[in-house]
Amino acid sequence: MSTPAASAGEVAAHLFRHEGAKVVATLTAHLGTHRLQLAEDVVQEALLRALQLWSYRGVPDNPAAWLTQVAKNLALNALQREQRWNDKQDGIAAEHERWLSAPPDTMTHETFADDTLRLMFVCFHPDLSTDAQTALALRTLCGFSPAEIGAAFLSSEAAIEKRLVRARQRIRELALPFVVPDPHELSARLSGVLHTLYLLFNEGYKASTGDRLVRADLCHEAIRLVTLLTQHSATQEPRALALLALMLLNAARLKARTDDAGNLLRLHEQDRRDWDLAMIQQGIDCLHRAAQGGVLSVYHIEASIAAMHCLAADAAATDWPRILHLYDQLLTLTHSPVTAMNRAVAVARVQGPQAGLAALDAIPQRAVLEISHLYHAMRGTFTAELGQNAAALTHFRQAARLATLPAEREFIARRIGECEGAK
Amino acid sequence: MKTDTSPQYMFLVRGSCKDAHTPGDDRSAEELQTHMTEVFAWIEKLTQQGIFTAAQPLTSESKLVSGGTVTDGVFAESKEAVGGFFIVNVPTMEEAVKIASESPMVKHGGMLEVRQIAELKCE
Repeated sequence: MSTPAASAGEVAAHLFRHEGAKVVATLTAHLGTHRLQLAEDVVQEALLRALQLWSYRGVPDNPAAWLTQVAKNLALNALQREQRWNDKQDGIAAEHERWLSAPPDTMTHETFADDTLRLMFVCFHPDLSTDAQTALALRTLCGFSPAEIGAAFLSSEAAIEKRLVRARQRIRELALPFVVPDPHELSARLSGVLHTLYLLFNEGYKASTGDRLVRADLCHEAIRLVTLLTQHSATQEPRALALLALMLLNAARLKARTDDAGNLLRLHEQDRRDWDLAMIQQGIDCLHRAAQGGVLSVYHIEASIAAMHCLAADAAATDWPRILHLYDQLLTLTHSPVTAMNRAVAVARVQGPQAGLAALDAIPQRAVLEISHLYHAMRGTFTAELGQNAAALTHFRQAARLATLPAEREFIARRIGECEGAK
Repeated sequence: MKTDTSPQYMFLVRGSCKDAHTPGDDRSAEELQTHMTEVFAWIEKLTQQGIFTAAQPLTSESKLVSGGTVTDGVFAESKEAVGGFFIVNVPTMEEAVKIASESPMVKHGGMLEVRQIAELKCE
């Protein structure tokens, strides 16, 4: 008789999610990217069996090996049911069958890391849309369910399910290989991977919706995947390290960004004691290592800006001139109106709110910002600082019309309340 | 084993033993893990209270052997299949039912059949 059940505290957080995702990668490595759906299905089934057995007997010493073996058996059963599978002309089928019925391989951390890295290059393939890439990554690399992905992207479970089906279909049509790209195309492909991970992180980091936990998970998953890139010899480039630094330095402040009721707090309103100092230190270390490559990426500059905020003892001690300088650099690399908008905050802190407004007026592509509530809230903030409360009120009301998330609306409502109180 | 002076109750766990390619349980990995840790916590609590005696899972394979014939178990593939059992040590059926109704298995849509283990002594 076994002694049932380790205590709840001994189970690693996200064990099912992460170990299941590893097994999806292993199965896809052996069976091919066209069988991604099968890999996901049998892993789901293996997790259900794990729940059934482990609940009574505790988690086995090597959960990944256990799940891999069960998933392999289930995959073999499923494939043997396929008509074509029994056509013994098919040498590939015979090879798959050998692997599936073989005793467990000794799975090293390196094998899993290799397989996961290859799966990343499949999920983040440039022939898939960004939406498809992020949904697929969360499903296959991170072990999220369609419902959880839907909650993160304010989308329905059915819509995400459809998106996933189309993405897998596209992978089959394109017959995407399960490989790390050749050196000559690796640089460009890695750019795409890093960019999508950056978007994934930002999706989790931006203003919170109902499901705060899922959004924090998005940030942590993005960090986990970038960490993997920085640890693998094929992909450990300075820009990957810089992106990791950026994510760590922002994630360290995630908890302080909202109060207990979920209201957004401005930088000077945040309780810096809620910042994760160990994570900040980790981020700073990453940034130092990233600086050793002689390459300056957008991620380097954004991470440096985040570092300036993290290292300031309080809001008043923030080195705004240095931050403005970094934004100037960033703008020459991105030419993005959003960057220009964020730069205006630094301008206002260094040269005053009037200069901030002028910086906003000077943005060439200002028209695309007109639909952003942030743009109008920023104008409202600057005009309020100039004591022009009536004008500020107009800007904040425009922002209120454009804000979609409850936390954003609440934030703007408080600014409106302040203006009305000051009149 | 406990002596047969104090009553014991068995919980037969039904509706948790799913098989491959039957209409799936589409709960997320995270939800499944939460379910499992809740079972662990539940067992831990019963153990601390001195109530918990034993538990084992059962596989879905089932054979009925009778009168020289062997057939597949009737419930093997259905929601009524027994997926495992728990044995608890409480004085009354009422208390056993209360514990069962508070179990994570029931909370997550499973079903427990509560049976008293018969005692040897004469009533």
